[in-house]
Amino acid sequence: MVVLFLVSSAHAQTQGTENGEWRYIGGDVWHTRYSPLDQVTADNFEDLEIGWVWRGDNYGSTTLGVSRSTPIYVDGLLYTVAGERRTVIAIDPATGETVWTYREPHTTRVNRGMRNGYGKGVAYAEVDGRGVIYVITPAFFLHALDAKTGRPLEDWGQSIQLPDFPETGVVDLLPDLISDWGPWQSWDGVYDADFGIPRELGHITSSSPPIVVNGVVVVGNSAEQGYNQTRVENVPGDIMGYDARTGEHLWKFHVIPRPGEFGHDTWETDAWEWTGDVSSWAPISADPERGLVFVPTNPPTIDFYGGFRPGDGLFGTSVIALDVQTGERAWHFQTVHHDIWNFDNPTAPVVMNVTVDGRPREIVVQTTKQGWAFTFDRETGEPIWPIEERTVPQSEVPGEQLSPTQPFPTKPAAFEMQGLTEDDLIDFTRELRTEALQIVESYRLGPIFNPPIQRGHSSGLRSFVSCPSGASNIFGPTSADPETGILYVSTLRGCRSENIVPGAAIDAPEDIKTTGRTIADFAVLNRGDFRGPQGLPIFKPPYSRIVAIDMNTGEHLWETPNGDTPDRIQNHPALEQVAIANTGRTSHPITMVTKTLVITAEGTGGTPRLHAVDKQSGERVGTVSLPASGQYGMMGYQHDNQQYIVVQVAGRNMPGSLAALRLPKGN
Amino acid sequence: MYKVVSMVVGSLVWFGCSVVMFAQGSVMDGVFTSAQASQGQRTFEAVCASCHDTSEFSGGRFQFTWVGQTTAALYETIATLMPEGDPGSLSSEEYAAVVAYLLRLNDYPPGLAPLPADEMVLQTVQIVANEQ
Repeated sequence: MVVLFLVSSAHAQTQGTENGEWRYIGGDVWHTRYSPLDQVTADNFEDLEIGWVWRGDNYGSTTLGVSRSTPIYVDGLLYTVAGERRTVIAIDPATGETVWTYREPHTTRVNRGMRNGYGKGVAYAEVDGRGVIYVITPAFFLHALDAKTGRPLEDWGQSIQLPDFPETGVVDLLPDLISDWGPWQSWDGVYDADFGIPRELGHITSSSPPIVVNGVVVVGNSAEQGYNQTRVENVPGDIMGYDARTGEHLWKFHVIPRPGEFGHDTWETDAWEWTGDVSSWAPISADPERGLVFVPTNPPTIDFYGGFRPGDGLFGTSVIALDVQTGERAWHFQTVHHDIWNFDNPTAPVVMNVTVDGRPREIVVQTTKQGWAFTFDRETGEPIWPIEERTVPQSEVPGEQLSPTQPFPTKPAAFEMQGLTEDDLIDFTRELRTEALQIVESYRLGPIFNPPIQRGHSSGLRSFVSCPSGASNIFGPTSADPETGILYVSTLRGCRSENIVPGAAIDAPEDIKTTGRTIADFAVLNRGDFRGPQGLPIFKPPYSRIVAIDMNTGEHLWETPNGDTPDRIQNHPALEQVAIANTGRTSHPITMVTKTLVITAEGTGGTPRLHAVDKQSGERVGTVSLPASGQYGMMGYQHDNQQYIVVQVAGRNMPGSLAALRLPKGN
Repeated sequence: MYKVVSMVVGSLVWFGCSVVMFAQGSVMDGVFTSAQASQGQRTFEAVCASCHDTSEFSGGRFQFTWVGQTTAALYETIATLMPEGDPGSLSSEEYAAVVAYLLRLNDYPPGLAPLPADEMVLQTVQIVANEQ
């Protein structure tokens, strides 16, 4: 009881979910996806009804079949984004009526984007007593909109000399990003705001919203998927800070350190000058009391091959704590050295207060695609439990040089199957196992950090196999209960087997999305064809789960399969005589936490249902129907004394949409 | 009479196309229809585009991966593995339409008959380098 009291008083300082609100896409600024609302309980969960559905039709030239946005609720309005232009939508939280929308005027540079439909939402802050909505668009502009009217904020930002752009309320982020970047400084040409960065130099975009902390708008960014890139040059994804009140550019953090900057010596050649990415596409979280933001990053340019960029390459695939006022690095941790596995840090670092070995600890947790929860003291960056550098396999791809070691957290234990051995193979029947053994003969199996091998490798094997592919991933953001210190991880079992070929064989010079000048020696042909026997997963179940980890001890508390065994597996002809336990779906669950429940939906491969799960035991305590399967994000708020749960849903006849559930009036 | 003749002619044309399909052919022979490819495009945009970009399935990437294989291999790969969260959840017609879309994306010519979701037929259609 004493522990709970201490933790609760710390939780009272968390900003974002007081008064029934959900001010950040992660609920609070700690990105816990927790709401303290308790009107909905295990007893009445199955009384929930659909209050309204908001459909994401008609935002853009094509209708998005999915939406990755988690709405926010603040001061009586719900805000989300929709469509390929990341149009901002304000929605009546009681009825689902569209109240206002803001569509960025068209530019050529929006057509160059590869993450246009990946918008994860908007940010909110109060400026001079007025609510402001901030959004970063695919074209990489930062907009500030009056939260009540959707109109661009007056006396904010700069005048953009492009057709139809407003005179105020917007900042072109690109000039600020590249103003001190060597390749742009030596570029012989003028800046074209309509086109953006010249193709020869690179491209940048955005998917997550900014986060506003202590009056500063912190802007992350995103880039072309590293498995689609064929050329080695790109712009670095430097993090930038802007004054929330005026739009003035305040600071920049170089994610690829320049000479004299910390970490520059982790770049062994001059690749730091012209290569890029190291983007923070996953959401950023913060500790406003300390004035820190926690920034997750992804690898440098070209996932799966780094022969042109030898060295550990800070700050690729890292968690970086930055001072929000100055942009200076407080601490960092690189979760993968010289990453060539696409092990981007895929979800926001989650901030929590816990008690470890009798001592209060203020931590931040990064769950990863490898299946670990890296846990740090959020002031110092010191690991709460030891993280060991261990020897890992080396690459045989010509020109590639991997780090001899990688960091392995000792606690919490990995929450997903890592690596693949024969012991992990499907064994529902002897026949299926025999088939699986035959399949794996063509692939290079190995432990976690198994390196790629190229097509035509001397072994004659088809490809490598690296598991997990994305255990924790943006498809199922991690959530947490600040009152108990339990972390709820959505995890998916999987393996990757990308085929690597000479970049020259697949480079597409005429494609507007091709950027850079120099074709890489190797690039990704496709994402591989490693599959199990007869359409079944090649590994043993469970295929996806929610794993509850007590962050006071680092111990796993419980785990539960995501949903129920898919019909195509349950009814598979090869399993006619076999009874199998619940395998879970083959997609990440999505979760949120309330005072009373963990609430979960089954993800892109799931049935259209919403479940309530007991926070302490993992037992399913209720299920209701959704109009389509829930995916990417859910949130909750209280409006007119009613608790709402809003789920991002999409399905075969439904675009990315929102379904709002509430109890019948009088409940 | 005219109506009967036109029906007979129409049947012969359809039958003729089917006969062509069962002989060994290639994707240069017009093995899908424009309407089918457009339907496949709609499916791609609604289902596949949330994770995939067309650049993954066009140009050098497509040629390198698929030239020398049959449309059966292409169909089977997509129908077995995708969508990633729920593989095999689309109808066979939808998968065939997506294959048609990918062929059109790579500038293979459309023809008079749709690509059937029939493994035996698909195995007779070679994916060859686009020499247009």
